[in-house]
Amino acid sequence: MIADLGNFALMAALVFSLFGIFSALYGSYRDDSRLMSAGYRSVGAVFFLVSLAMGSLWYLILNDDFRYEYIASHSNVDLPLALKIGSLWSGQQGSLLLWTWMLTVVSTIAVATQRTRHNRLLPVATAVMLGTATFFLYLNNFSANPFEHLVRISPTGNEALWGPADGRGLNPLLQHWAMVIHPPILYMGYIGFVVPFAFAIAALWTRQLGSAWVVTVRRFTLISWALLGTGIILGAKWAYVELGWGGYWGWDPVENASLMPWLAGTAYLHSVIVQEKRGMLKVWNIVLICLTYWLCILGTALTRTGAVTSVHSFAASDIGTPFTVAVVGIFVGCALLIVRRLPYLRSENKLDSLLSRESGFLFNNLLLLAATFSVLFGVLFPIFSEAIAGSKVSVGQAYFNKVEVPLGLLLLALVGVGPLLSYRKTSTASLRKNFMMPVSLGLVAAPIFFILGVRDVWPLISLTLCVFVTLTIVQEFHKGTRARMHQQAENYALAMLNLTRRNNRRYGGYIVHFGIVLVFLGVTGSAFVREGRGVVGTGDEISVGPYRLQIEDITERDSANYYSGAVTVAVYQGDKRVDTLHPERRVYHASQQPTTEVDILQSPQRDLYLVFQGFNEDQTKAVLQAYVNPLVMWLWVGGLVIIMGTLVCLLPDIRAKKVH
Amino acid sequence: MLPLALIVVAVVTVVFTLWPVLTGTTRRFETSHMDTPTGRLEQRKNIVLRNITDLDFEFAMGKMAEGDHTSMRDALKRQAGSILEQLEVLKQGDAVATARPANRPAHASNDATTGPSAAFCVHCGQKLPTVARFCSGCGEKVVS
Repeated sequence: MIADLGNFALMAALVFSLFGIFSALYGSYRDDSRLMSAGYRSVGAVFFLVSLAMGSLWYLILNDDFRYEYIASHSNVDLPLALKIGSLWSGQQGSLLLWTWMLTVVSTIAVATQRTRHNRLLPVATAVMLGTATFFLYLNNFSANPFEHLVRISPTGNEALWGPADGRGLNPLLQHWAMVIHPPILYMGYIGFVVPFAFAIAALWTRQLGSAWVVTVRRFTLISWALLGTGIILGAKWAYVELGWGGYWGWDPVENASLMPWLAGTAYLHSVIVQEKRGMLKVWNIVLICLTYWLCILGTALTRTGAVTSVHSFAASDIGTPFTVAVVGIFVGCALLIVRRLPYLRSENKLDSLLSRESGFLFNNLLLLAATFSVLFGVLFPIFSEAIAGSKVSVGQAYFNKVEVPLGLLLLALVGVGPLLSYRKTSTASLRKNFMMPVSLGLVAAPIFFILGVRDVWPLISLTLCVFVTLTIVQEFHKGTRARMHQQAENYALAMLNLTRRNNRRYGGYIVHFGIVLVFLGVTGSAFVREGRGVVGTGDEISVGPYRLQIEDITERDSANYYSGAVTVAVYQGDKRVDTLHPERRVYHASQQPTTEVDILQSPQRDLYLVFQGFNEDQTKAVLQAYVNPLVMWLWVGGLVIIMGTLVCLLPDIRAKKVH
Repeated sequence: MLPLALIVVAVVTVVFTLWPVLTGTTRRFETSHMDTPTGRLEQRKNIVLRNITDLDFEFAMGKMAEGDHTSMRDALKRQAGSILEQLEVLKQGDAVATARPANRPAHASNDATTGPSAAFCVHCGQKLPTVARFCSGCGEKVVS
């Protein structure tokens, strides 16, 4: 009965979604507020119905109803409650349902908050949001339905409904806390871009290409961007602690699929400032937001249709055709609409000088797009190679590192340079004034890093740039604080607080920039990784980097969910015992799939990362792999700083209220 | 039990969605101040004023040479002056606008008015290319 209710809700949601598109557009055409209102209410109705479907699926999962193929494949009786809840989005059908639900959540929030404003933009924006919902609801209903019954075919060929006593269980790799929150956060980031995209299309359609749509979608874009970034960082954290290969980023297609819209969205967030301030880069902004959304859909299509191979991609399925139609349709539709509206997207001002904040933003756009398209090329290469040569060939990590590292460092340099440039033009005198301190100290830092042993070019440049950018940020805060102290007679701390509060977008942005510096610092550490491996028994020792590892015990145990073997390792630095680590290897009963549970000794300087890879051939000794990963902690700290900076940017604008 | 649940869900959803049509609610959505021609101009004025404030602050921070500050400030002041002039023109045109039927929304207006300057939209003050047929700021028709 519950599954029937869920199925009914999904079908009804599809019907209401289609009705809402018609009602909003026809109401707008006839200037009939009743029909427009019904269109807006359809968004709420679709949200309600999809929530009902979500609730139904959760109910069935929590009640271990294995008559349904999705639940039998992704859950089992002994799965802990939190993981049972998370198993809703661990497979194709459930995650697509979650995707649709989140889409309806953001659409409902957008319509509810904007329904008394923009009565020319909102009907079209509503139709675009519901159009997206219709697409996903089509998949939920006809291509990836989570409520499909399991069917047993008898030897005589008769089909009968069937339910096993227990399910196959959740993929062991997904049995981790980050996997419970990572997908919802990442999906919310992806799908949140539907709101800026919808308003951009509405602005193009209605020719209202001023700054109204930009201002309307500012917060939605920033929140989506932050959630997508958080999702990426959480995904990296999960890969680091769960996959057991010592790293956190492998240029996997699924990782790349989330990175591409984040890069394009970053370009948009910067570029749009120029449109707000100077009425420039309008074509760029429209293109960037459409591209961001298109990349969200493309990335989803690539990883869900089996087009590319990934550690976390879903099995090949029959959703390929609808996704191909959507990807091509969105691309062609957006391109045609933008070309037709080009006369209305002319800049209100010209670029006065190459040495200006505007040109800095423009270079930023170019670099971020170069990074985006080079990642896209790498992701699509297996598809191209299959089409041309008949076999899938991946470009591998070497390609990505070779292309993305220089681009990333150029971007990092621009993070420091951009805020020091003035709008319109920057004179030589101003340049000298602003760059003297950070450039000088940056240049002093480079030889110090060299003396300390950093001899490779890229890490040396990266660390020097980290110093330079940090100094530019410190200088911006310091000079601003001093100016405010002078103007308002406040003490240093209060002046800095008020400076940030009154210019929250600008100084919140600087905090985000500092987070980016920390991320680069963490990533740079990967150039200095050290490894050690040993087949060890109790009492044996291995050394890696500054650590001496002594094996104290090797144990085995059996629990309801899995069997595990663990090694107890005493960690010494010199003669001092600093910690005891317990790397583990598990084999899950339901799936018989082995996983490694690494144990990590974290510190700001370096991580000691231990992996128990299993027993040797005669089962007497443990195979232990150790990595010393410098500076990794700063990657996670950087992620937190980025979130903090974004929250500062999202604070209500005091100055706007005052002006109003 | 199931048919009853389905009926309840269907009825609730249909009534909620079609409520404005069923009850004949004719409440017109408020046009926000930002969507009015005056509102758009005021928004542009606020942006320019904020740009001046930011420029002054950057100068006070010591990030900018005096000559650069003066020339940029003058340019922004000219821009602000132009917007204030257009606001004045709009205020004078309000008397004409009041002759429009009261139940007709401002945004539904198609009667593009010829303004004092062909380079700006008379509805929102947006600077326009001479070939423009529609305003890129508010989407209204432009007649030269």
